[in-house]
Amino acid sequence: MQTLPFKSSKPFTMGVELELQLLNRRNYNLATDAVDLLVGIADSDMKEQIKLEITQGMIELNSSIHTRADTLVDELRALRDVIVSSAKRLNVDVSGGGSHPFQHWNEQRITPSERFHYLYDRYGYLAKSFTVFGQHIHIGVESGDDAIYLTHALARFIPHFIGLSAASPYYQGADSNFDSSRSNIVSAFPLSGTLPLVRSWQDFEAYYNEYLQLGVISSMKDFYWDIRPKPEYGTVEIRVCDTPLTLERAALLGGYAQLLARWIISERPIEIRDNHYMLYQYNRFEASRYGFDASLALPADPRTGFKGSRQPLYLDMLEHMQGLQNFAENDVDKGVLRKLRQLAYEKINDARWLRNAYKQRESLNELMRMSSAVWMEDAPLGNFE
Amino acid sequence: MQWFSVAQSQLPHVSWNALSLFGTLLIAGLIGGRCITKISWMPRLTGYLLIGFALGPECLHWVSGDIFSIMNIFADIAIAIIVYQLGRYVDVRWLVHERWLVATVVASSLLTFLLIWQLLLWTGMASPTAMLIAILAIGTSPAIIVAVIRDIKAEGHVTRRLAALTALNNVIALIGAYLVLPLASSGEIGSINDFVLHTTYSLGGSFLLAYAAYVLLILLARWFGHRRQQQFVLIIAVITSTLGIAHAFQLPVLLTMLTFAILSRNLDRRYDLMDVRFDAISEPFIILLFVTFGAAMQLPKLSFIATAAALLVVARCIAMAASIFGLAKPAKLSWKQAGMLTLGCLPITESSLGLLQLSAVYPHVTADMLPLLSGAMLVFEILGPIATQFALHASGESGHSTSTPA
Repeated sequence: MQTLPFKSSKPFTMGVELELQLLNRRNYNLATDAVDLLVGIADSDMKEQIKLEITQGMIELNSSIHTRADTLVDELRALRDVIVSSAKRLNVDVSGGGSHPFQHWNEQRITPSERFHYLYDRYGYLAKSFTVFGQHIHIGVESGDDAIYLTHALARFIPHFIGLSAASPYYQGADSNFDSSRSNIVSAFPLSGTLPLVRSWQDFEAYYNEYLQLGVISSMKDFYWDIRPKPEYGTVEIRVCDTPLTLERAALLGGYAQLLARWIISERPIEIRDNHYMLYQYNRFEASRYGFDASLALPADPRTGFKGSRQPLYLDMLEHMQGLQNFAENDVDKGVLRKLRQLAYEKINDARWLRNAYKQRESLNELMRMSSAVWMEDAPLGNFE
Repeated sequence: MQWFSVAQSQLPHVSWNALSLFGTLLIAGLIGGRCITKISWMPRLTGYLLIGFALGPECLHWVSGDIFSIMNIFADIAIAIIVYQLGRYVDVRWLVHERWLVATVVASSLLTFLLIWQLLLWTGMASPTAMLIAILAIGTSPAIIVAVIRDIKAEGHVTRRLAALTALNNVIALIGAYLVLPLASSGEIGSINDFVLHTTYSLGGSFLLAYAAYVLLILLARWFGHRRQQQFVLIIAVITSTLGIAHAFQLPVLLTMLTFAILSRNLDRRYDLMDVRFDAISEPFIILLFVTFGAAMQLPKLSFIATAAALLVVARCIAMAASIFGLAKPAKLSWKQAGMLTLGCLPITESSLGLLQLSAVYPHVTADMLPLLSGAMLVFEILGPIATQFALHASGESGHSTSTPA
């Protein structure tokens, strides 16, 4: 009998979760209104898709299952309207972005819930410093074995997702010099990192059971891996993205994951060898630190004769995006790839926008006001990009 | 002992000056605050008040006369800084989206006024005086609300509503007081023309001064750019100079400062003005403010007006509770939040803020009112900080009420 059954789902469907910042409009520091915001949407049909997060300045928005990026962005906009209408009643603004630039971790308040209080008791200040904001992307897969393969194979593209979504250059009141400082916060947790090098769902179940029996975990939720299988949804979940400043960017990232998964599952182009994760942390660091200008270290591949080399991240993205053209099933997919190529070619990410905006306005409070306007009103990103 | 007499005769006459008074009262206030917080649920403000009361004319008689005059300068600065912070909670865009908050302010103000006015008439008080007292009783204490919010780092829905409600009901109370004064003054300042002129001068002058201060602040802020330290000094400079000008022209200080803060919050479309923290600089002034309030508390007069003062206290609580609970459902407030908001609103505006200025122009009217308001104030000042602090703690919005790892 399976102890951790994997629920099959339609391959390459996608959904996203966005963790968002709630800001008080007096000084644009993080607010503490998540619970009251949910009270305000209690009558909405979409209330089940908006959830509390570990601290009270955060809220999570969950999409339903989609096959195309355009329907995804439409739904995200509808969810945004629900949140914004409740937020306005509380005099709170809502923003994307991977980190709040000047909040202090010790001022954050744990959301009243048994699980969140357990996490605070367990992890101490780490739980409060987890007040960072990510986008999680779910990709549907048919079986547990596919989920394991896809999880390993997508690890190769984690720097792509970090570089495209990077939106947390400022942290605790200063420029971190990282495009995505958020990714370092997650690394502090003991159960962060990557899926162990298991090759099948059966092997993974054995691994899972051992951790369960030792009392190290109580469910899959306790693994804070960058990519993890989500058996109850029948998906693979990518967890490294910063929440982008716009919903459109969030949908583009979903579309990119969908296209990569379609290619990976169809062609099985990546061999999972024993040294699969040898350079994973290094490349992850490069992408977090330098964004599109990261220099990826690509290991040798005896199967193809590739001898190993360094490659700028944006070029690696452009090459793969070109190859993904064959897996675009409709005009929406092609549009996603076109826009992604433009972002990679021009090296445009939200970290760059945030830095340029700060340079012009010289105020982190003002920066958050502007980024909330971008998220709430689809305000143009303008010449900061 | 001859040497002592000689030495004493040759020493200069030593009297209190502003600096020695400032420092000594600060130390006394700090000690009072520290001692009172040994009781976990007592706010520091109550310690400052009690120390002031102990040093004041009712007990040790150490703080009185000229010393009061010096203390009032510090208290004025404290009030100006406090009111500036309070006014910035009034966000017109918020009020447009949350009209139930506006409805709550209007309903609570109207109900407080009508209930207290009728009750005071019932006790035999002259109608105009009762009307004026009822209007002044509308205002919640800015000093207590801001000081408690700051002290416990409160942040959240109830806190924001409480602060906005306080700012708005003070605006209503102050404008109302200047409009009702002709009835209460009954010829004290001459003809109706004199009254119209004085009210227009007070309200119009207050608005013009506030607007001029806003324009000056915003132009200089734009010029300095988003440089926090320079903007901080700029705001302090504009606040103190506006305060001085309001005093010099006998304009309502509280109304001017509130209007100035509300304008600076809502007209700054380009967001040139930074939100600066006053924590460090305002702490000594807040201590002195509450020591001054404590020293000004008068016990004996309470015995004469105990019934009326008690009625005022109860009536105000009932009016606030009825309006807040009555509109809680459409405002999507839980009953607990409504209760905490009501409790938080308990402290009444310090009579010294509105009345001392009025007393220069309308001495007889304010002389009629002061005993009763002092009596009610005694209750509100002692219980107010405790109630507000408890309310914000219980609503879960205090920065100190966060959970601690086991």
